[in-house]
Amino acid sequence: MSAHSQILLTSSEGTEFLIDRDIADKSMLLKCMLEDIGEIGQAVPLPNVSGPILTKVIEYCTHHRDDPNFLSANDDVTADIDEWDLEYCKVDQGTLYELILAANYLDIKPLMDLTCKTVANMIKAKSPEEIRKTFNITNDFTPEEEDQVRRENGKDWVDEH
Amino acid sequence: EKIAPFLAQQDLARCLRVCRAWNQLFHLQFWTHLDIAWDGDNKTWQKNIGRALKNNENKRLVRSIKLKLHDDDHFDLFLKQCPRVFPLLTAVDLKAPFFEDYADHAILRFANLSSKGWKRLVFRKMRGTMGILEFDKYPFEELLRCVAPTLEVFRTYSLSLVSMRVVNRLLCNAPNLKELYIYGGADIAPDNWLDAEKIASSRWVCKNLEVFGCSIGNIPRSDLTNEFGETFAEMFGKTIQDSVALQNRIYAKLAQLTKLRELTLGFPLDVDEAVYEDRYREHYIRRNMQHDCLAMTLESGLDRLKTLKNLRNFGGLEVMDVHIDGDKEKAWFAEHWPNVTFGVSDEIANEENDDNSSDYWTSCEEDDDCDELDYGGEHDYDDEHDYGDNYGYGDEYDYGDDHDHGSEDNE
Repeated sequence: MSAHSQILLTSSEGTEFLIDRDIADKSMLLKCMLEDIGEIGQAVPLPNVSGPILTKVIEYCTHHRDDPNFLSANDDVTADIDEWDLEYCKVDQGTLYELILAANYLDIKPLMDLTCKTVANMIKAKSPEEIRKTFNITNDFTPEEEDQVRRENGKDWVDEH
Repeated sequence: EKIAPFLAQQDLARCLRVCRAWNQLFHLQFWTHLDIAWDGDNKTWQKNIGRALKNNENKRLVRSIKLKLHDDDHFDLFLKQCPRVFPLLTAVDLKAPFFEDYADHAILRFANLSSKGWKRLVFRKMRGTMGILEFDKYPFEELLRCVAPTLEVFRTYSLSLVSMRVVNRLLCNAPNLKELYIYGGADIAPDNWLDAEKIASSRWVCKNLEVFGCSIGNIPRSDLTNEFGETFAEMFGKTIQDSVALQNRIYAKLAQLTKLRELTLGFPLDVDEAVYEDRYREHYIRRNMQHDCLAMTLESGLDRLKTLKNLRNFGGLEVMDVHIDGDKEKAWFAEHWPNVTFGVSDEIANEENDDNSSDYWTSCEEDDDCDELDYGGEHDYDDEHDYGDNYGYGDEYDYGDDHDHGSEDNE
């Protein structure tokens, strides 16, 4: 493998992306695949990732290409998200969920942790009703069920604790 | 599943109340790793949580508990209000003042909370509290004896008087131990360090140790002199050869722990609370360093540690009276430990920031062997002395090189 070798990826719509090998290696899926079968000179199809999402993923991997702590970047569940990552995640909820799915599929743990942490931050310190509003969720509990849930493992962990 | 580890227990509780789908999604996460604080006297909410924990379906999900006690008395209260046994529980991270004595029956009952066997025990002294947890006395000694066969992680933070005799016994009886970390403690009493002679002749069984954080002391250093020009070895009637021979035995002992990735041999001394041994008093006060530690020089046998190829962090040099500025040692470190970071590890940095997060709480093994367990019915265990006897007394236990337990305690 030359130091500057490049890999061609194809998104779900068939759009092609030419990226440097070290960028591709941020994805454990691509890294293992390229190590196993070598560079075959053909585009690697990624049927589960759309073009716009792949663009975002490549943007993330490119920004962190020289990060020595890339794999442990978001291990600390309590650590703050750094400024660039914070800006990066300022996208609509649909895009955020697609990024989670893409990070999971491509096996990019730091991106997975970052996007999940972002969703978690949207939940933190909110009441159930506020969470419903944030994620546009309908409360489908019956009053009896809601009362039971609150009694069994809800309210008492929160309001006075 | 991926998002839950980033949420606190209170947030997870709210998630359960959002809708049916979220209730199902977060139920497992909510109960698997509990993070609770017992901060009142028998309050209603505590009773309610206790009742929810006693629910058979809930309690069989619990694998780890992070428990914060604002008062040592609440330990007993928590034990009374929670189930007698959690079938899958293997880990506890207990933060408490550790000021009052913990009753024998409470510790035994605590030991029996896990029917699967304890894998991880972490004790943290709450900041800003004076407290002494006397591990060298029953019943904590008994607790460690009971859990040794299954224990993988044992960490204590800022607890004084953690008896190193007991720690050494653990090293001789815990074959699965992967992490041993005895951080800090206000005291520098003789038994607050692993005794070099004793560990040199002990039979450690923990060959898979990855983290070793423990002070080793009582080494008569031949390279350090007191104000009269006398070496510490000479002060105790030892020769240079005696000193080097002992250090070589210790290096050889550590060199066998080839899976070590973190080695810490020194911890900050709290001179305000310290009880000094007369022989080192002036030096400790002046320099705040441990004098009777390994010299960490090639002359003292450092080269034996070249087997530690997995080491990534070496800590404690700043509080050990060592002089390794020589070119030989520098070259040795560069050659044998090129990837080793010297200084405070991330774990300590986190602890210093009062951050108790640990990967374990999100990566606890998820072996699904619930079916093998007999959960039994639900009971209200008011009888404090009905322990269930998962752990008991009288099992075989290796007391290290000194098999006479009684005489050790009388030292």
